[in-house]
Amino acid sequence: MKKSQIKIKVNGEWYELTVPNKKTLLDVIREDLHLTGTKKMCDTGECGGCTVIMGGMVVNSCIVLAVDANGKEITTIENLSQIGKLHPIQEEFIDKGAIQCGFCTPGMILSAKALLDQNPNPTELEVKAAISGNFCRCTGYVRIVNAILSAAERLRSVNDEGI
Amino acid sequence: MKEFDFVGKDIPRVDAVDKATGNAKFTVDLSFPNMLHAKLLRSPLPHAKILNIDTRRAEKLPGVKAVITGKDTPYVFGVSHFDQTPLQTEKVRHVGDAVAAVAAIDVDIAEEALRLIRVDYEPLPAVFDAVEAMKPGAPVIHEGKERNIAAHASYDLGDVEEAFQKSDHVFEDHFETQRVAHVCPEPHNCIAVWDSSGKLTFYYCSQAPDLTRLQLAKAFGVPESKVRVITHNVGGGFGSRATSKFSMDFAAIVLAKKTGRPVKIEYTRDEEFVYATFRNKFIMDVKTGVTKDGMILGRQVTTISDTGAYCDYGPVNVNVGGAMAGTLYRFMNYKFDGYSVYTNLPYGGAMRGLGNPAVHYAMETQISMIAERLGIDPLDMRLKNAVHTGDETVSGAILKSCGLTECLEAVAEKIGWREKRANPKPNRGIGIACGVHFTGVRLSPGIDADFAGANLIVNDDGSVNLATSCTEIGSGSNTVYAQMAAEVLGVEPNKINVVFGDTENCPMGWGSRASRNTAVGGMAVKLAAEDARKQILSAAAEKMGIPPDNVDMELDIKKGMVYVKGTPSRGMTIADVVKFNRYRKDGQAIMAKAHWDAPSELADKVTGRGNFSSAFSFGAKAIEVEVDPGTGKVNVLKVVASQDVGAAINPLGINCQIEGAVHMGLGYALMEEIVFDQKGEVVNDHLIDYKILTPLDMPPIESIIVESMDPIGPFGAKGVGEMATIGTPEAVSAAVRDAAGVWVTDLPLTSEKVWMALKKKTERR
Amino acid sequence: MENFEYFEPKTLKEAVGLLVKYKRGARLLAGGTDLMIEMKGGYVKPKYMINLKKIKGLDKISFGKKEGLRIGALVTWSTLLSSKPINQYYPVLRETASLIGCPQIRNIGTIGGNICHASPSADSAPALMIYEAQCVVAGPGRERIIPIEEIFAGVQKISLKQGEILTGFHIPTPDTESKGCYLKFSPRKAMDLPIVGVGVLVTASNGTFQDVKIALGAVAPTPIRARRAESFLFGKPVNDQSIRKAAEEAMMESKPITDMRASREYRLGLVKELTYRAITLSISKNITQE
Repeated sequence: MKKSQIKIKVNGEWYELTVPNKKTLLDVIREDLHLTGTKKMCDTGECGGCTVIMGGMVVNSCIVLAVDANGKEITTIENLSQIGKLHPIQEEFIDKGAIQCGFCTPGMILSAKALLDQNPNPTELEVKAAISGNFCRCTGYVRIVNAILSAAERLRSVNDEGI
Repeated sequence: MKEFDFVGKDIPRVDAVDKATGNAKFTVDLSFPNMLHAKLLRSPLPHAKILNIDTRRAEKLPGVKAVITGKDTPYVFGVSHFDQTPLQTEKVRHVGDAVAAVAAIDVDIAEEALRLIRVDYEPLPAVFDAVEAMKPGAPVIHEGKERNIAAHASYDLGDVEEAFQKSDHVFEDHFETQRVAHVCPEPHNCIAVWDSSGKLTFYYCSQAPDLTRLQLAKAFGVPESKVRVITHNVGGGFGSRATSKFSMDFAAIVLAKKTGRPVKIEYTRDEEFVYATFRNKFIMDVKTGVTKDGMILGRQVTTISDTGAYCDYGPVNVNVGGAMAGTLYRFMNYKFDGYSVYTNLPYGGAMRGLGNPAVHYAMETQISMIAERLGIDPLDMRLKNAVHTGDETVSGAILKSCGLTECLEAVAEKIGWREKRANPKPNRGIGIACGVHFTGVRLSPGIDADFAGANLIVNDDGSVNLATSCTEIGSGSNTVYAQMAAEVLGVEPNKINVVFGDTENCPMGWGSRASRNTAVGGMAVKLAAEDARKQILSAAAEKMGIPPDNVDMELDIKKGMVYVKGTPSRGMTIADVVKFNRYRKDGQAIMAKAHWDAPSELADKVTGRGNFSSAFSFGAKAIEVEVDPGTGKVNVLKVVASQDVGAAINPLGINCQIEGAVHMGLGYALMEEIVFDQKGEVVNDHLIDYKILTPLDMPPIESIIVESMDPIGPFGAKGVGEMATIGTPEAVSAAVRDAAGVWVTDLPLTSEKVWMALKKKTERR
Repeated sequence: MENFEYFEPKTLKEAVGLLVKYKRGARLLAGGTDLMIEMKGGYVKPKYMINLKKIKGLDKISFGKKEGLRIGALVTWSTLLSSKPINQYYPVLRETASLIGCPQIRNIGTIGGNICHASPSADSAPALMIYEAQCVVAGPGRERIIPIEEIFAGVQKISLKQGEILTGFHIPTPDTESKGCYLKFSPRKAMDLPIVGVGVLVTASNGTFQDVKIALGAVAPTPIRARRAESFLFGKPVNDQSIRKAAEEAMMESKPITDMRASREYRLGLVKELTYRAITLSISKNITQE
């Protein structure tokens, strides 16, 4: 049998799917779930364009087999904002000029989220390390790093206020 | 620049929300009912006759819907020369040259079908080096192209020999630059859909949908009205998508016609590395005559550029390099010979700056060398020779605005040029370089036009639909257009809905290339907005009972409100103006159009001189490095980049472009290179071994905007994107010399090359 | 990529049984960071994929001062980085982990997978070698222990027999006086393979070298120990001259090739330079401690 049944929780919803064993999590996200925010940029785990958060950690979904993701909780970029309300990381990316062609942006934002979830007060070096697997060809990363540091500051002040 | 409401402000990108949420659609995200997937069969040999292609087994594979070969694609296309056919019939000219294509219900089946196609080849001798390819007896790659020379560009201006005679010193130096790849985040992809009337809709990640449409219509021999090109967001272009020029495009179109179903082709990342074209490899010899105090009297440049198996932009790259080499300094004696040469390698094309970055690397590194040899400060030598506003350069460029001196002085000051040179630190060094690039260009012989268009409709609610001929490829053009239109119309930028990328609904233009978006595309937007403003004011005046002759004197628009100057409470909203104008007998809409042809000229056919662009952007870079003498590693400590953009419509956007261009420039300088093996196959077609800098590798970058207020450009603006790419490798090269005492004159400056140079230097002692 | 049958054995015995049954047609899935690339490139076409991650106990870290460190083959680099005992007692291993890939790779890439891929430039090899790790191997027969050096059989070849699975490593507690480092020379600071990698562990007292371990990556078909350089230093005074001579020895023991990443000549030069730096750096840590 070269197909398997899997259950994955994506953006808070459980999906039951039958997938070829060789199908990657990225292809399931894009083709079966029609969530095209996660991008196929290299398909070999070398660029971070397909970054999703799985089990609380960033992974390159193009080198994770969908069958291996069975039972796991996955967050894609689509989950980050509610209609009409952006996540502070998204707002800072927009305000600080961290977005140009936008293709690397979803993966970049999720790497930022995973970082700030674990380390609310990162140094500039820690930010660069956190996105070191997310390639960008347009920005030179400067504004992206600024945006993440700004987002960290905003999130800290929100948390400090106990909201 | 004077103070405006929106122009000159750091307005966030109008498309950023969609991109931040993952809602922005790229061509590769599209899918259609009944869609097939296609793959290309590519030659494993670099040069071979095709004896036979047998596709019968592939055709029989379940899931395969069509198989095509060269006989199904009898089309000719190209950029400089029409030397390409989509699928080869007679012979293949590089590893990867396409010979067949398969459309199937999924990619796996298409790939399996490729393995079932049998091709019989007769290998031919191959050549992988441009200099070797020019020698007698070299394999002939294209019949009729003697010595494999695809094109020869030459300039012979003034009297270079006399200039050399008059010079105190004449220096000759040799430089080489490498092939680098665009590494567009979104790999090339397209979807071809034919409708029942025989009309093709081609979804493509194009920088210039109209150019794509024209090329396809011409190649297929159909009227342009039968081809519609649609482009969504584009995940990077950098010149690789300026035209439709790939086997993939034609294969998808023909397969779609044959099957009657939409056909999609996507490059994988390794295909994107090899078959999306590269920046050409350049070999350059620069001979410069100078006085003893550093005045340049004449220059002669010879370059051989490897264009690969097909021309594409190869000859244009050489031509541009030649033209721009005569545009930066004030010397008036200039000779240039540039050869674009065929080899049996995957072909190069247009990449950000065309041939200009390579030629600048050679010229500007030599200036630093000459300054050192003469005992002159490299900054002072550049300032001495720099062009100024009002100059007509030896290449024929008329500089209506030029901020070159300001750019040089700005970076020198920011990096602490004088102090650092006076107080050198061990293993540390600084280098400086400057450059020039055009803003839109008239370089295609026979096409005496460089235009953009804009259509503008004001809606009942006071919002604006603005259709542009330029494409948003990530450089921020949509935002700049929203700012310009908002400024002229007196509305908030978020009221401007910028539409692009559909050849049926947008005006025609040459798209997003040659750094023309802000100045050429923007001028069309400004003119259309001015026309719409006139209409609004005229209708408002009619409603408000103001005599037509007094309109400009009495009325103004701000925040969507047309009001009487001095009595802001007396007025009406634009929305009300539009509705008043429309909903009445003989009513009219508020609609405007503009077509702007940038005021430039084709070069003279004989001399090659010409004012080939409406404006020229200048820039400078000062870079500080530290060299580890034990390993040769070059650590870039700081980059200061300045750019004369005419006027900064969106300073944030400009700084972003500069930073991204510095990233590309550092890659070109230090580590990016497409490497071939002895069989002409790329060995590093993946991101581990084709190295672009990661965030941890990036130095701090400071960018400085200089505004020389171009008299032609909208609000004074000129081009940004390509000039920003120029200057980095030459400044790094000079900084390495300053730090380590060695010149490395072929890019990239890998740690191994620097280490070898240091070793040689030690051994010479 | 070709399709395959997929298994999630719950026990080692089950996994071994599958390997024995399916022989060369089977592949073991740990993190997948190397395997997936090989499969997508068509270099490897398994018919049977055996996912090891459902087997309990393969991703554990345990430490006791007497027993040393036991680290399961499926421990990811991220887990390794957050391990207190590793941070305290095996800092070179920790340093190595921080230099691998990027967060996405470190979150799923495993130490066992890195060793079993057996690249000559495997980042984890020098650190495991200087700490003299033992590889624990399960199989159809009895559990075996193989010294880390012996697990490498050649370029991307490991010396495991049919049906055997690397289950983890046992690393003795290093001498408390020892200090070391891993120097990875690569063009980029992330997402890169070493052109040359040097791992060093040094113990010195009374101004002489007592024990030195030097391991080199990317300069031979497998990662190697520079044993002649190590022997040379034993008993030698801790000074620049000794270190330079040792570095020269290490260079002569290495057998690098020329490939697209670097030339043989450059790699030899780097071995010499980086070995010198690694020993000097480690010694200076030693002195600071005193």
